[in-house]
Amino acid sequence: MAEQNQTNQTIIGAGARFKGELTLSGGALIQGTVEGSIIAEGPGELKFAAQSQTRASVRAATVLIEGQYDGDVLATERLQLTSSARVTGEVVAAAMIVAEGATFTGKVAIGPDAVAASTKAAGNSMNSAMNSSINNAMNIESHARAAAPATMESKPASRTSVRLPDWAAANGGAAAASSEASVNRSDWMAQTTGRTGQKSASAEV
Amino acid sequence: MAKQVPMRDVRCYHCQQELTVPAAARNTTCPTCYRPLNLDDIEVRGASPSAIIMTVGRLTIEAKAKPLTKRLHAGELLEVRGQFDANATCNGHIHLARSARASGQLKAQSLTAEKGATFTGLIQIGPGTSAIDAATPSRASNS
Repeated sequence: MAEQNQTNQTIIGAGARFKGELTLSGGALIQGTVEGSIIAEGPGELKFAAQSQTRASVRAATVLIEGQYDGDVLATERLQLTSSARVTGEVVAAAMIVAEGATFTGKVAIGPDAVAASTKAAGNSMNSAMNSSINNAMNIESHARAAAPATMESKPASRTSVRLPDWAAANGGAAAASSEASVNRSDWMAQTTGRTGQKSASAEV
Repeated sequence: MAKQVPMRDVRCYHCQQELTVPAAARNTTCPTCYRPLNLDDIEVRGASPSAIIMTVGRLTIEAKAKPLTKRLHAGELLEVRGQFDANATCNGHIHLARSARASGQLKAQSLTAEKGATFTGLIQIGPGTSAIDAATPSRASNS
């Protein structure tokens, strides 16, 4: 069970199980089982004790692993593996110390450029997640608006701002106004204006 | 009375057999696999054209070194201060100094990468990870 000691450090005690996303403002001591992701903002140290079992993605300034760890680590300052550490996964760190006796297997990127790129990528992934959720919400709203006219109003599909010629109105306005009416455009164009059919393209029904 | 010669324990980088050799010896032949072993400490300073650099002692890639080597092996310590892109194994410790610019694959018993060092690739730390492939040719060179 997570608890805070007198020095305001977060502790996940031995035997405790945590599953989810944990965001901390400082350091933490992990003695139990953690699954998910841990983000430690600030200069504190994130320590995984010898008896801990972790399957998570971790981002912190300083990470000290003494137990079993399976996942990704982003250490903006230092990553340290003690002799009892058993680690697999991808690591991005500014500096790295692996003591004799530790076991580590995985891809590693060390250096300030790698840390900066990973930090930016992590921020972009958060932003893109936020943007995608916002876009999804907007898309849902726009789809609702697009679908609204069809459900709210039953307008004929051919409804455009077309001025019907006099002969069409004289022959039966209702039939001429329906979308199924076959209008001989070339005839009435020739009769009324004498213009070519190109002019009628703007009034296509 | 015979003068006692200081000895040291080394491990063959071909067959991983442990053997004891005089401390001042510069090369020897493994009594198990009969392949030559380089016992010298090696410092790479320039653009070493050697494809493989191996020693049971210490191997140092100096700050301005850009070895073209694709495989490195050190028995005791591999210290990188310069630049390389290779597969490196060490029976002991690998140290990446802050001026190191490395990529490839590292295998060792322990590792230290100072702040400022740059490395990209695979790292494998632990027992039994520093063995060289049996197909590695027995070749070593000094800078």
